[in-house]
Amino acid sequence: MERVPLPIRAFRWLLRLLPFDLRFDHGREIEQVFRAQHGEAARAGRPSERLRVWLLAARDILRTAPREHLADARRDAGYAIRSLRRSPGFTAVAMLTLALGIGANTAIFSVVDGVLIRRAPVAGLDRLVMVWETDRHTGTSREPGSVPDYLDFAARSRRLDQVGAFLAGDMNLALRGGEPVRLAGLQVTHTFLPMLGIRPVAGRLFTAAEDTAGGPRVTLISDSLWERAYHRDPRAVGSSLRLDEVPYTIIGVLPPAAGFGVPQVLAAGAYSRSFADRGAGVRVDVWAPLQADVKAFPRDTHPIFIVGRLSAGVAAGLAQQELASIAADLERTYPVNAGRGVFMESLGDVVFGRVRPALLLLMGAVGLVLLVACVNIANLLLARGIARAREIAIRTALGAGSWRLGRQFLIENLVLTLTAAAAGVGLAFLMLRVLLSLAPADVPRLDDVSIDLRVLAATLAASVLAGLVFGLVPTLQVRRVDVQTGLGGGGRQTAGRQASRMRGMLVVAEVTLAVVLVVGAGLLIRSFWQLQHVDLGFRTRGVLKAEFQLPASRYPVDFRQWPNFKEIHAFNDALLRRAASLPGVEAAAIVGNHPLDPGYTTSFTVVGREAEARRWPEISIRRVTPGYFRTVSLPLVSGRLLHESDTTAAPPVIVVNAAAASRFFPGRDPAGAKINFWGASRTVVGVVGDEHFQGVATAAPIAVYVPLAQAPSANGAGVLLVRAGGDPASLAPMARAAIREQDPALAVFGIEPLDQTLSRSVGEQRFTMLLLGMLALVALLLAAIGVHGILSYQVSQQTREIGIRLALGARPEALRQRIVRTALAITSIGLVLGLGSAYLLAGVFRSLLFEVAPGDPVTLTGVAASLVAVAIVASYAPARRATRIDPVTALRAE
Amino acid sequence: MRPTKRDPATLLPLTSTMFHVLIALADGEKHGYAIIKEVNRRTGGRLRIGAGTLYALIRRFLEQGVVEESSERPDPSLDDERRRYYRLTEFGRAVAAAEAGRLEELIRMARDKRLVTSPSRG
Repeated sequence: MERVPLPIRAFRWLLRLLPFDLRFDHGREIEQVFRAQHGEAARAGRPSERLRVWLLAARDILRTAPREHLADARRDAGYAIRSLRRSPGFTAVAMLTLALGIGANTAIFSVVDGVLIRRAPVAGLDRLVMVWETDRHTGTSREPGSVPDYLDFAARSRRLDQVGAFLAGDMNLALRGGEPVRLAGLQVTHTFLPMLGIRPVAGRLFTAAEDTAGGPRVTLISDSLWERAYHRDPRAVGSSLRLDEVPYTIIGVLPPAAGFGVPQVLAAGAYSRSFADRGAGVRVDVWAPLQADVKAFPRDTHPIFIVGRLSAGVAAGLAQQELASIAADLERTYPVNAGRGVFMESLGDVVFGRVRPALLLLMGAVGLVLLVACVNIANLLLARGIARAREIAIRTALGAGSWRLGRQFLIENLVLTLTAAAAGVGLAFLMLRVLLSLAPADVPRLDDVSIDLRVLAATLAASVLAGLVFGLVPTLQVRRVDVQTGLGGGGRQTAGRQASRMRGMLVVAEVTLAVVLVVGAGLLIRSFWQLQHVDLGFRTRGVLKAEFQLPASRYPVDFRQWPNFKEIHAFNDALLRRAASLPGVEAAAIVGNHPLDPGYTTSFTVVGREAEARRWPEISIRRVTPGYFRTVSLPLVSGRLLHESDTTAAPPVIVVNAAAASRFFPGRDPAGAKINFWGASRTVVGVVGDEHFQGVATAAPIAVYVPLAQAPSANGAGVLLVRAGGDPASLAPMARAAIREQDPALAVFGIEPLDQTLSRSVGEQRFTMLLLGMLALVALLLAAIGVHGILSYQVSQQTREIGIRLALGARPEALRQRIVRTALAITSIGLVLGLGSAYLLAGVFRSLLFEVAPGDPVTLTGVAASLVAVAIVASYAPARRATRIDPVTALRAE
Repeated sequence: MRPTKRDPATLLPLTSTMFHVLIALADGEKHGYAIIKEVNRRTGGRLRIGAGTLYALIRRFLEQGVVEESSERPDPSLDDERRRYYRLTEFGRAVAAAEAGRLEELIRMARDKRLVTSPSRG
């Protein structure tokens, strides 16, 4: 064999850079030219001339190759666009399908990414733990701790190298020239913020000296407050502001991360939840040093939330053991700690634990929708591939290589998927906006959610991959189309049978996936419906609430005078008189906690049953004025309600709720029994109905109702409730004015109809239900398109056969029924497989359901019925088309 | 099937390389190397078309119907090695003429503005 010279071999390698078609058609000639030029240079006898020829030829190839590749790609793209334009139905459905799938996926993934996946704004979140106290007697496991316990844990623990604590509360901020505003605040140990890795954006953090009892009044403000009240003026640091009418010096400004997780931690606690119960995305605006005073907060009070950081290399289990051992020691040493233990929990679990299951469920659901969309696309492309068999045969006969055709289909699909991706990204922005407006505000980090570049890049990459993968379908078909049979039209039949089976399987897969989603959505809808129909025990319709907090500076709280806080009582009495006389008000009351606020609990005894009481749980205390029962329509069960005569000076009385009565006084009337708590023996005078004040989905806890006059709030907090004949929102300005007229320096906040508070309390369930419902609808629509597509295809394939049948006298009705039966058969298989899959995935749904079992028959019946409806609707057009086939035309066309 | 009448102007303007290739083919069919050599000779070495460039153009001209392939014949100067010959189609001739006309029109405009002073050849 002749040995090919090196320059020629090298040149042949260079030729590989050219597009395949050019190389295939003219590669030999290009090489011939090079050989001729190289040969002439060789005959000239100068080696430099040969090198020059080679370099010039190489330069020419290197310039030509990218130009020709680009030209080919442009040509193919132009052809692709024209081809897609010729099939507007296919193009529209394919693009819409993909855009929906991509858009929904991107939007929801952005939320999951922003809330769950993205790095938390605090340092080393995985090493931070909540140190809850537990109470064996009451069975509570997430209680705030006492100040002395915290000091002992901090001093004695070796497995937590940093410990901090905080206490939450609301404060009034008096802005110069403006209305006083209510701010959410924290009192923190000086170790707390450094432990979270928080650095101030201006000024400094608290020092140890500032965090001692009686220390200076200094404060840190949020970046948001700095913006709102000071327009980011650096001179704010060092200036003074009045919180609850007490001057504080601002020593620094904190970034948004400083409030990370606070509402979720507070909400998880058994009590002392403070502003967390206001929900609605409350953000911390002020921080003050805790200045813990064991005299003011002795060991039997539990106001603070303790957070620790695990020492390097220490496992959580070991730290839990150590703290439990310290707690046991404290229990032995201090009788007030009897029954108290410790429970450690990852801070991340506390912050994200509530929303994680729902968000992950939604991610899974969106993944399913995307899968359904991809299956739909594959189906559409398969059908298109069959329909183009003749076109492929003609082009092959005219000389187009299979590689060339395959590349064209690939580019066509890339054009389709990239265009759909662009539309999907636009949809994603829109969907994200809708999602964020619907999302419950207590989902953490929602403010930071946006469509970010990584998600965009992942979406584009997924689209390109989808384009390449789906592009393989017709490319593979191209290789298998026989030119002769393709030209004769037989290609459609032979390739059609195999592809038809494949398409049938794909449609069944689509329906299966859609059923799983519809079952999930159906269960959530049923669950939400159950939630909406819970008898709360009290009325929210027509009731407006307005909250306030009386500052100690003008409403002193002297426990030596308890319960005779004269100024507070005078304020309450006067406000109640004003409120009751407002036009449109049917009833009014002032309470310590509105009926959707869990409030707090206390230990208690029943006189004569003190030994038994040691094993009793704590009881909820509801401080109310006598008008409360009428205002929220809380019914009397036995005895009497609280009266105006139950004043501060009158004998202490209470009413208990039915749950407390049946628990502690089973089978007898509790009236006359004496219950001790808060330093007084109180006589039970009546029994009222149960209220679900710990949440719609939570059973009514045991509770007692105390006259506000006999148990005023120690922190001055109060809620005005007024019931209107009409729309309670119309009372809002008057309610605000009534409070401010009574005391112009008071901040009034949380003004809203109780219906809104209630609606917000089930916001998370509503959000999950709405989203899953939307996704299920999209999946159903896509499945319907799939069923419709395959039936249409079958009708077009069987045109001749149908024509013959009609010519021989078949009834159109029978033909229609046959097609509908096919649709029902496909959806039935999908339904059975889908229900089976949903059953296997039941565990995923269970935690999100309320009083609905995963196998709820009503839901499953509804799902089956909707699938039948989908099958009938999807088969309507193809069935109609089949019965309108003209036998003569059908037979002639073949 | 009746051939569609195409407007040669739809392919204008041509690049100078394209036009030189068409001029080279105007007086008869040639293979690729011959085209390269003629263009090089006619332009005094100022325009050297590479083989890659030439055959990319030929591929495009074939698709556009500007040139067509003639039969393969051995080139007597190359020891019987087979070469492919190309020639202008009617349409290709019309395209070349249209481009020449366009350039003539441009020259006329330049002369009117006294940008070109040499006399026109007959």
